[in-house]
This record gives sequence, structure tokens and C-alpha cells, in this order.
Amino acid sequence: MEAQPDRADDRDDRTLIERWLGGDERAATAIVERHATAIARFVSTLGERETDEVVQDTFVRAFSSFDSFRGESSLRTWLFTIARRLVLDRRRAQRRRPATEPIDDVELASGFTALDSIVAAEAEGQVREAVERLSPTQREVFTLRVGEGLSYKEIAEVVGTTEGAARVHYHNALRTIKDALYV
Amino acid sequence: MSDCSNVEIREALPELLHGRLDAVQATKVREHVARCAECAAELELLERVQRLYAATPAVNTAAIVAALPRPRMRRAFSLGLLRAAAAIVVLLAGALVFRAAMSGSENGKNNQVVVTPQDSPAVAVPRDTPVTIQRSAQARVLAMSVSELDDLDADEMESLLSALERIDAAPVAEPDTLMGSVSGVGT
Repeated sequence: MEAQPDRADDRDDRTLIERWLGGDERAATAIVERHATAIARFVSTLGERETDEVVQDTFVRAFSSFDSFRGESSLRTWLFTIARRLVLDRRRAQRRRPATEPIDDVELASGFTALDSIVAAEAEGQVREAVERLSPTQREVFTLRVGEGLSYKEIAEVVGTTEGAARVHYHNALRTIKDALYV
Repeated sequence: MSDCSNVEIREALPELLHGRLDAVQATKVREHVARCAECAAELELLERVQRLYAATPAVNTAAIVAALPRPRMRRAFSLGLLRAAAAIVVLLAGALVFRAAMSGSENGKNNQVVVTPQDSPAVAVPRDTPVTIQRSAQARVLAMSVSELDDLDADEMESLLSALERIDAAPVAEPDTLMGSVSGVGT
């Protein structure tokens, strides 16, 4: 069963980009408002603590290279790709710093606890803990699939893998969460 | 919690959650979920996860927008202007060069007036021997086409002839060889 891509949203994004390239600075606000929350959500699930900074850098980088945006993928997918690359760059930079604690899966998972103050309900807490048990890649794919509604094709673009691999990661993640909640 | 064996429906659950199915597909999935406990439980789980993600704190969009680069429209606009200006300059320069060339050509043409005997019978030069009259300050009066000579009255023609007498004239045609008369001298 093929999902219907959000062509209207894509068209709106392209229109906004063209308006901004044509000098309409108000279009920038519209673009940011449409996607900033989703990007922040995705970045936080990657374990990045400086979410605001990464989200801002994502948009700055995107707006600096709109000329090269060919529209082959949706703008949101493209933004996710940029955000992911920025997070990976920051991790590499942190690894080079000797004073910084090593980043492993446990630390990446702890980044997700940024949601602690927001998610108070017990049930939500259980789900959160279950998601925390996922590997970084599983969590990334699961977030894009369930949190953002991306197709496997789009997820593969963002994560840099194949559709088949994205599908396997999703189902493994779902299995892990079910086991954590219902066993 | 076990999984439903209908993989197609399970794959469509996240799409249903985000409204990415068309009406027919959405109805088909909802009907399945209504009679499948496994899929109903899975959809509920996905909804809980989605709520978890939805709780992400809002970002400061104003701060992000303030940090964005300015549109490059101005550069593109000025480039367009520069291109247009360059095109105009090239066209103007071309027109000036063309005009200068034409003017030079005209001047060159006017620098010499070829007078043949049939055009000016009053000038005593041999027939079929064109005469080039070099222009000088004294002979500006000659800067006219030969056909205009017919329009001159007697006084003007008199003036023209007297002017002609005061200027140098050189035949345009190659001079006849003198070898015949010279050849005997050397021998």
C-alpha cells in the first residue's frame, strides 16, 4: 500500500523557496515555522542536547544552499538530512576533544531524557523508556517513520541507507518496544 | 503482543497515523483494524509514540529567522543590471565604431575627387586619364560629387577652375612605362 506523498506541502515549500529567492524575506519565516518543530523533534531523538543550535544551523545551511536544492526530495527530508549530518559532525568534533566524555549508545539514549520535563504521564514515560532502549539507528528510523510519517524511501535518503534496511530497522524497533511494554 | 500476519496493513499504519493514505486506502486499513486486535494494539502503540514525539518543546523560530542569510536576490538583480548595462555599452561602442568607420570611409572618398574629361570638359586633361585632386584647405570647394558640377553657374565654374589650377594633380592610372625611351640610353 503506497502512501500518498504530500504533494501540496511540497508545492507550498517550493513556492516559499522561490519567493525567498526572489527577495521575500517573510517566506523565510513561513518555511521555518513549517519545519522547525519537526527538525527539533528529530534532532532531540538523535540524542543531541543543543537542539536549538542544531536546528538553527540546519536552517542556516539550508537557506545558504537553496540555489542547489533540486526538489528531488521534499524540503523536510532534505532538512532532516542536513540536521543529521550536523549532529554527526558535532559528535565527531566532540570525539576529538580529549576532555569530552566518549559518546556511546548509552549517552545518546540519555539525550532523549530532554523530554523528561515535558512528558509526565506514566504511560508516556513507559513508551519513552522503551524507545530509549532502541539502538541509535533503530531510534532514528522509528522516529522518522512514526514521529514524522516519512516513507521508507525518504528515511533511506535521510539516514543514508536502503529502503529495505530502513524497513528492517523499523520492524526491529517496533518489536523491541512491544517486548519492553507487553512482556 | 503478537504481530498481525497482514504485512501490508501493518506497513500502512504509520501512514494512516499521518494521513498519508488516500480515502480508499484509509477506509480499507480502518476496517481491518476494527476487526484485528493485533493491528488495533499496534496502532494504539504508534499513537502513544507519536504523542511522545509531539511533546518536543517548541523552538524559537524568530531567533532562527534572525540568523538566516539574506536572500541572494540582490546579487542576481545587480548581475542582471550589469549584464544589461554591458550589452548597452557594447552596442553603443559598436555603433560609434561603425559610425566612425563610415565617416572615415566618407572622408576617404571625399579626400579625392576623380575628374574625368567627360565630366569636366573645361579641364584640359587627356581623355580617359582620370585625375585625382588631393584635398587641401584651398580646394575644399571641390568636396562635392562630380555630378554636382552640372549645377554650377558660369562664375562658380570659373572659381572652381581657378582653384583647380592652384592645386596639385596626380594621375590615378599607372604612368606609361618609360622603358622604351630609356632603354636606348644605357646601351
